[in-house]
Amino acid sequence: MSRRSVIEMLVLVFFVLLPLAMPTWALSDFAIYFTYAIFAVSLAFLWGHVGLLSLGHAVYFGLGAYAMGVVTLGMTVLPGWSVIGVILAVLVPGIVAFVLGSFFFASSGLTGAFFGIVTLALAFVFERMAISSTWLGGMNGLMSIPPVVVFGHEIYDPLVLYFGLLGLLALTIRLLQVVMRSRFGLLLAGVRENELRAATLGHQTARLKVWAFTLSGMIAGLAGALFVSQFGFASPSLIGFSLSAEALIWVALGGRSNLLAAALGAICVRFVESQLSGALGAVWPVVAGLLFMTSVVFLPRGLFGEAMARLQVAGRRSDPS
Amino acid sequence: MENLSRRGVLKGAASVALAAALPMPAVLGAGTIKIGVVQPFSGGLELFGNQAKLGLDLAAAEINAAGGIGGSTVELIYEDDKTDPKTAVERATSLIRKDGVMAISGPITSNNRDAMMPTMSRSKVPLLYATNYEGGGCDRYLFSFNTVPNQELEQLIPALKENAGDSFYMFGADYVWPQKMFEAAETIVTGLGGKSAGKEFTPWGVKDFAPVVRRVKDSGAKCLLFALPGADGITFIRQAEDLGLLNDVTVGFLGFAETYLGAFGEGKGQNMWVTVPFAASMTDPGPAEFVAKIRKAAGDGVPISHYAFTHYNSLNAVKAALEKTGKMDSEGLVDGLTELNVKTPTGDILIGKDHHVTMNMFLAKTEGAGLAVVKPLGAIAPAPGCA
Amino acid sequence: MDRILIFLLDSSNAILVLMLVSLGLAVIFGLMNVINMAHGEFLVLGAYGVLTLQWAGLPFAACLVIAPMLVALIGLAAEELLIRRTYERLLDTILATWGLSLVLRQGLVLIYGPGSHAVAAPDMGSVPVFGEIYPVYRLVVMALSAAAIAFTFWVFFRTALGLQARAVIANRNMAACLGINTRMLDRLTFAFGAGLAGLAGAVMSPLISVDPNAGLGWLVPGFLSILVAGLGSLSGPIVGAAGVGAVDSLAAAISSPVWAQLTVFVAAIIVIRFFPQGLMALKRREA
Repeated sequence: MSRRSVIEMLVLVFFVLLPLAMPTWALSDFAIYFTYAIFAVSLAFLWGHVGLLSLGHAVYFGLGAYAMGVVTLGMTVLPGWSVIGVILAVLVPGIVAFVLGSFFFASSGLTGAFFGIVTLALAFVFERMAISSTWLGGMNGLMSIPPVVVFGHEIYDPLVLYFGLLGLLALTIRLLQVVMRSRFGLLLAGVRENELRAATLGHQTARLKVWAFTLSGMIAGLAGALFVSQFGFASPSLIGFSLSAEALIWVALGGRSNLLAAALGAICVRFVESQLSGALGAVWPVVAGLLFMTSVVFLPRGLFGEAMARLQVAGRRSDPS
Repeated sequence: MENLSRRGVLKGAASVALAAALPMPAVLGAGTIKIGVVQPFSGGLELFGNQAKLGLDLAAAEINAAGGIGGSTVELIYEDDKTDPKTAVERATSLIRKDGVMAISGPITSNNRDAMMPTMSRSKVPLLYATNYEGGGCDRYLFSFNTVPNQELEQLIPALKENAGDSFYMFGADYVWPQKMFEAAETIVTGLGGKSAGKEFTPWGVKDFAPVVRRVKDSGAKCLLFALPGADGITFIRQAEDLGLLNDVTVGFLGFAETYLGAFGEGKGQNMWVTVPFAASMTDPGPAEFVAKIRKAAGDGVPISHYAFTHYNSLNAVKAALEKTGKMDSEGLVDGLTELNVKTPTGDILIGKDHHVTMNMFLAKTEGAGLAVVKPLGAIAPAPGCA
Repeated sequence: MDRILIFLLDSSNAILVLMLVSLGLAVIFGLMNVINMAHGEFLVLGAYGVLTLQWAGLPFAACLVIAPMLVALIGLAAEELLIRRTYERLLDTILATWGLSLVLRQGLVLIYGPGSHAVAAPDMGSVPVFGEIYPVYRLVVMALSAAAIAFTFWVFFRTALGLQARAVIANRNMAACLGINTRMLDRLTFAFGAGLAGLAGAVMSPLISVDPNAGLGWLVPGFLSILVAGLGSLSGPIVGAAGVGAVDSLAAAISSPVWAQLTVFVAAIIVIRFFPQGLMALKRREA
């Protein structure tokens, strides 16, 4: 077992045991943090592994949230089953990401900062459209969205939510790791390191990026669906700039080039914020901003990314094999 | 970690055990009635959150000084929703599950309220909402202590028609509250034989309103019904004043609060008409005393608006309701609040069957650095649009 | 006819201010390869600068001059403490400056409170223009913006410093080899760009609500402006802002501000996608 897997296992064991040391009310908080973590992982995959910085990633989270809400509230011709909701919540953002990705990347497409700013503007466009749509409830959004129903049972118990979402988060990270180690994933890393070289070697870099973008959008959509089934509402604030920006902070603080680090970033920022924001009040955003700047400047790999990288290096040194 | 130390780890653990053991989360601690407060204290609408806090703090202090409710003291637990719906839900969930609050007061915005409601109904904890809104919030666990559109518009539009003219232009932010407001306004305007000269909405963050101002001018309207809250509204009024629009039309400012005053600049933003349940400049003994008490607690310079007033009322209503039923839990509170009469500084309010309040309203206009009451309108019943 | 002229006048006001904002962004982006997400906050700082100086009893004209300089100083400090540490990492400049914007915005909340403030406008009265009564101050805003833009061009095209700056934009390494002090130029550029934003905020301060969140409304249009026309020249942001501002005003005049915003964003995204070099590059190619 590699040092890296050991660290990942230890983190997983920590979260499996955590409920023993935690009051019940905190379980549902953590279930939500895991949901954010799934979203963070989708962003980290795109940014850290493919090198595409999406400044408007909440668009896909929000589309998933609305898709899930619309289906389970019975606003479509489809039956309002949770399964159909989840499928659409993955498909709709996936299709939108595919179409937009094709538009962005085909032929001499957008790169780097241009891509970032265009995705930022798109976040505003989608938020605007959600606000203007009366079908989607306008600014107030959709309310009273039911929890996920599995075999006739509403999933609302905190303990079930905790382990269900922890499992999904672990699965998502695992799935993306498999993708990253596949031929497709290695090619994506090649695109990140030097797109021109990858293209010169005969790879369709545009197509690779489109599929990576689609995959990331689908996972963000899944996170959105899981979010609404816990919180019971979907509103334009889930689709626009502010959530996108928040997710960037999670990923940058956690670590963009390591999925687990990004997930831990989301969980920790959200946890610390809920603990400290009451005590620090209006000073909290200043503290968060300063921490964020410091991490960008001095720890580009992020807090957890840096820690894990060091542990791995230390492991390799001490490992005689 | 102020939260932990303040509430005490042991106490927290005990209430958790209780909350976990019982299906009803609102269990009374020993001698305290916990009311959660989810309001914006950062993220753009801090001013309104602070207004709510003024009223709630005063009410809690008065109730506790007079021996509490049935011997229990009231404890307010404040949480910041950052003007963001998902944070509002997170904070509400934590207040219910962790602190076992009996009710939650807040929030300000409609989207936060709608986001919180599924959680509130599911946990069977009432939400005490004391902000003016578009109506239609009808739920066993939702009580509204401020106005719905008809209460603001019913008397404002006739007054504008009489004093300024019979053609109305409607301009507001592109979201639910202004849309519903203008729907209600159009009905009233047509009913009075007036005419609608135009209606338009704007997104947030627009910095140049010159095109809109020209359109209002060109429409020949005499009155402008205005529903653009916050900083954007201030920007619009400043530019409208600059471009001479305010000489041609009289503004009916919907959702007005005294917190706006001063932001228009000295001597600006005059003669804008409003209907409010309360104005800080009122000279009657009740309101004057209310203003004096808040000023004493929070300082002389602090603006006091109807938000402070309605939040103050909402907590006093809790006291009256619990004393009426004698059942010190969330369900007792809901039952008690329904069809309840509550004394307030401007006279009694009546919480109706549909959980909205009949209140005394006042026609006023901006004058100098405050609101001048033109005339009291008496009690106006809400038409919240509950089926 | 008068209607159209008045419309043009109204639009020019918005467009000229957007040009100032975009010019500052473009100078920083072009010379330093830094994407400054805190640009909107620099603008707001300019407005707060006027407010503070006015409280201190200075006449409005003095405030207009001093406030942008203060913002330039803050820009200088930000460059020294933060920005220079992220050079060569384009995407990280987005993050670092975005963190800076958070801190500046909340800093304003802590110091000045969350509410809106009013900057007292100098009472200049109104003059009849094209059959309308037009406030003189709006004309002053336009004149000042135009003058600042002209000044920027003068600095870049008629001074030795400007020549060096253009050399750095064209080829940073070559310029450094030729003995140009690029470090000094970076400092000056960032301060100058921040100062332009500060000036935009200062001149607009009597026309808007001065509050901590006022900056965001300019940031995205500013970025779209510089990308639409293309980087690498000073006239780019001017043309881009003219285009973005004109489409916005036109759409707002024809339909409503809601559609105007959507139209501008979508149109800009399409243009940026198909002409990543900017519309200006097209013209150069033809010529």
